[in-house]
Amino acid sequence: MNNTAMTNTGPILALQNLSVAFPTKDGDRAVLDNISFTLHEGDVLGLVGESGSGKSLSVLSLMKLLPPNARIKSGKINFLGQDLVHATENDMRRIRGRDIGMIFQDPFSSLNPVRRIGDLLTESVLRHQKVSKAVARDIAIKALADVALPAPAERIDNYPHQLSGGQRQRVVIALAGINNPSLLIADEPTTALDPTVRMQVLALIKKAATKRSVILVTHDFGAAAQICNRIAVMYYGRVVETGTAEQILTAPVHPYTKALMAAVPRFSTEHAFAPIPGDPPKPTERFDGCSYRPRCPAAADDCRSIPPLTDVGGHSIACWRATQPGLPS
Amino acid sequence: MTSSVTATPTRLLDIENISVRFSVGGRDLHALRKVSLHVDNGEIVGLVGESGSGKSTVAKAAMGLYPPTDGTIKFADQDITHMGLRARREIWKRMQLIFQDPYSSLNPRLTIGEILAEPLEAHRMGTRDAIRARTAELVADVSLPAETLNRYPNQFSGGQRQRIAIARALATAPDLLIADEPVSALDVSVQAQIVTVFKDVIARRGIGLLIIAHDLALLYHLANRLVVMYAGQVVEEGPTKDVIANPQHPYTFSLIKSSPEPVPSAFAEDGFRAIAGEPPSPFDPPVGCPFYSRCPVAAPDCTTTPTSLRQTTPTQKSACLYPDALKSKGLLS
Amino acid sequence: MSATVTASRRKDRTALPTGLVIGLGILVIMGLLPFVLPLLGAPGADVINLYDRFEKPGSLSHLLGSDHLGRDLLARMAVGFKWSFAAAILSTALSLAIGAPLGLLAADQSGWPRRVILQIINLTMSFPSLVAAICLIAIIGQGFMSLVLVLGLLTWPVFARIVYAESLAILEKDYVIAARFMGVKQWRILFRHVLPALRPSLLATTAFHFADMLIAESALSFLGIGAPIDSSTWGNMLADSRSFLFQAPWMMLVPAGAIVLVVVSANLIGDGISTLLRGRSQRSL
Repeated sequence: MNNTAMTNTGPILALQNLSVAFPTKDGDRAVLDNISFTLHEGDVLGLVGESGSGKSLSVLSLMKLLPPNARIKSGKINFLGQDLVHATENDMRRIRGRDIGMIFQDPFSSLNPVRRIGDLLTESVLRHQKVSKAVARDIAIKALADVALPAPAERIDNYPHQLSGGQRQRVVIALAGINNPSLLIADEPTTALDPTVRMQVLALIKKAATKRSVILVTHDFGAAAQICNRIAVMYYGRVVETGTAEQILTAPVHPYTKALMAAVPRFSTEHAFAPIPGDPPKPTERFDGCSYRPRCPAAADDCRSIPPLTDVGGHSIACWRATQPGLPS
Repeated sequence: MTSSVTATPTRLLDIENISVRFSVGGRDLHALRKVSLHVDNGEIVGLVGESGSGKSTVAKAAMGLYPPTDGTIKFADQDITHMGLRARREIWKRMQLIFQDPYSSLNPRLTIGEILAEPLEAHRMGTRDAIRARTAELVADVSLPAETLNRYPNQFSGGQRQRIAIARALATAPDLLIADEPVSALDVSVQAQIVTVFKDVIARRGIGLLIIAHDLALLYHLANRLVVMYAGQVVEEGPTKDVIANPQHPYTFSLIKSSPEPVPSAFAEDGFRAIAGEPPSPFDPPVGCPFYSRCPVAAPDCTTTPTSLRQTTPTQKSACLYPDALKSKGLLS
Repeated sequence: MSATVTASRRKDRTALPTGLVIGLGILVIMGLLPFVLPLLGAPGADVINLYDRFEKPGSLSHLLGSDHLGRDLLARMAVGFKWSFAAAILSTALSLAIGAPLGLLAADQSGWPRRVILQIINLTMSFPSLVAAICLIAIIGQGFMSLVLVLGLLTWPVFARIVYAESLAILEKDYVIAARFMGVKQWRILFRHVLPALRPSLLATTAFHFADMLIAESALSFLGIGAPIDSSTWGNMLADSRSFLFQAPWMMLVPAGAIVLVVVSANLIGDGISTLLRGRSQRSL
């Protein structure tokens, strides 16, 4: 039960210059290019980007659940002092579910429809903890109570179809957190939900974050703003801007971050509500230099080389316009 | 399109007190209970509510897919509640539906040109050449390049597909568009694009739009008027600005508060944002206010008094017995 | 921009499943045999040579051996393919021609036409087909055309049921409902949206059904109620072999092997078609 994370003072998770590629007939196609981020206990990191930005692939690669033809080309993944890049499938099976909990987008397909929710929960407890069946059931009921499922002692014997979408997502959260993992990964957990339920789920994830760290993968800056203390904005396989939530939300620098933020509607006419110009790049497209260049209003000639992620006043930006002084932005 | 548009608005869609019931496993599912709403030309009406609130049922009832068990539906002063298929084809020419999922609403085996030509051919609107010219105009109307016509749906992104679906809906030059959650299947970054297309199309053609969504903040930027539904009933209606600034129903208030804005630690400031509970079962709708169980300002008689929409401010209607309670309890300034 | 996309898609389209290629290859070779063999100087299928009776396979004059009348088994097998292939193809076509429209009609018309068609399907399928076939042939007489007719009339529900079930699902799709709202007439919806979507499963079912028909044809001929007794068909060859099973087992093995080969290739083709089309439609989703 007591995880090593409690005694560990270093970061829970550190990704360093991670690159992932799909081999194709015409050479490797990079899908993640030099991704780095670090999480400490209590951190809630928002990985924000459009579909195809690589945000989901980032978390899949640290779970070692990449599609079979994808390969980690270079970089390090350090999780609680272990090197995950070279971890065996056996190690990973132990880590997933015990040290890393996962909340998926679709609560309808992530719960086995022919199993009672109680069986799913107690099974996970029994797999990773040395307790009796009765104790496991108590842990399961407590976990359901923690996610505010009404009447957990009765609900535990329900099948998933007997629950509403919001209740199912609560069960998914309870399942993800039942073995007290050090890291919780939530991949678009609110996309399929109604506004009021979405807020309930975000509240639960935030509550879960007090004891561990969380990665929230989302295309919605609004959702990230609710619970994240750190945000990394991804575009086409690269992190283009990262910093504290405060920095990113109040003073975004990268043109893409600004555009993505403007695309979130607010109850205010002061903020521009505008689409991002152009279309997201197709996975087969290739670019020289900054991949946002074709859509960027500030693009210039030097954008033909890749801008490195550079520290500017406490947060990091990968944009020549922001990092090279004296140029118009 | 013509100068008459700016004259007195015409009532395009007029739904009066419709109820829709389905029989599910021998039990009655009350999908809609005495719902009324209307759309005039040149107007964008936003219909908002959570899944199960009946908002999509309204769209399907208007299109004639679900005959109401009660009430009337009029289109341009013509009663279409129980209209036959032959006559309805003429109505459909003037009233078009845009589906939620742009991945399933376009036939993957046809080119965009063939898809856009289909309604024009069906209504015999011009020669082959005229139809070809018209489809080229249609893709231009939704800011897609002309070569779009020769491609297949799978060569386009979700946002582009939805623009193609809008172009198809505009083909017969309808007076009214009904869009059933047209952006919920799309990334946030693309939603604004679709909003822009709708605004542009409605302004240019002076037609009416009934747009269904669950994101109130999005409708804030698009709709002139809002209709809020909860558990099969309309609970509030009024001009968008007034409804957002001064909600007359606690459900509307909670929807506004549930809208995640990209503001730092917005969450911590306001505990009320995550409103608890879930809507009542549509099989067994409560006698009184359906929102009672989740309402922050509920009073005892809310469970027993049947609600109905009434004028509570000069511009807004609400089904709440105590529309001022939000203010008097200090939740709304 | 999307030039690369289209290029790669075209490449995928030409990548045929191996099974499909093998299956088609076998059928083509079998189909060419009756024309090629005479050119190579092989004996004709009906040439009786009593000196060459019961020749074992592998001999120079009879590659696959000869039968009790000294006829060349390879030549008889090759000619028999023409007969069996024609009978199976035509009865499959008849079955498709009756079953598909009825299935489509049942899906489209929710009222009494659906009930009637579904009842006929159930009725037809509840007959023991062999008994029914024997009775029908007894009534209309033996011959190539009556064989085709009987097989087609007894097996069309296979197509009707598949078309009915799939059309029902397609008619519920958003793009079909959208077409209806566009004012497209129902018959046009069926031809433009429903039928093309049925093509993958219809093609695969046709290949599988062809294999079934081939077996059925051989079975009926074997029983002596299929092809005319004196014609060289696989069923007749099998019937002939009965009396010499221990003396000359190859007389049975050659036609039986030919049937297995063609049935397997038809199934390979069916599988290949469904893999090919399923892959393609997945990409388009």
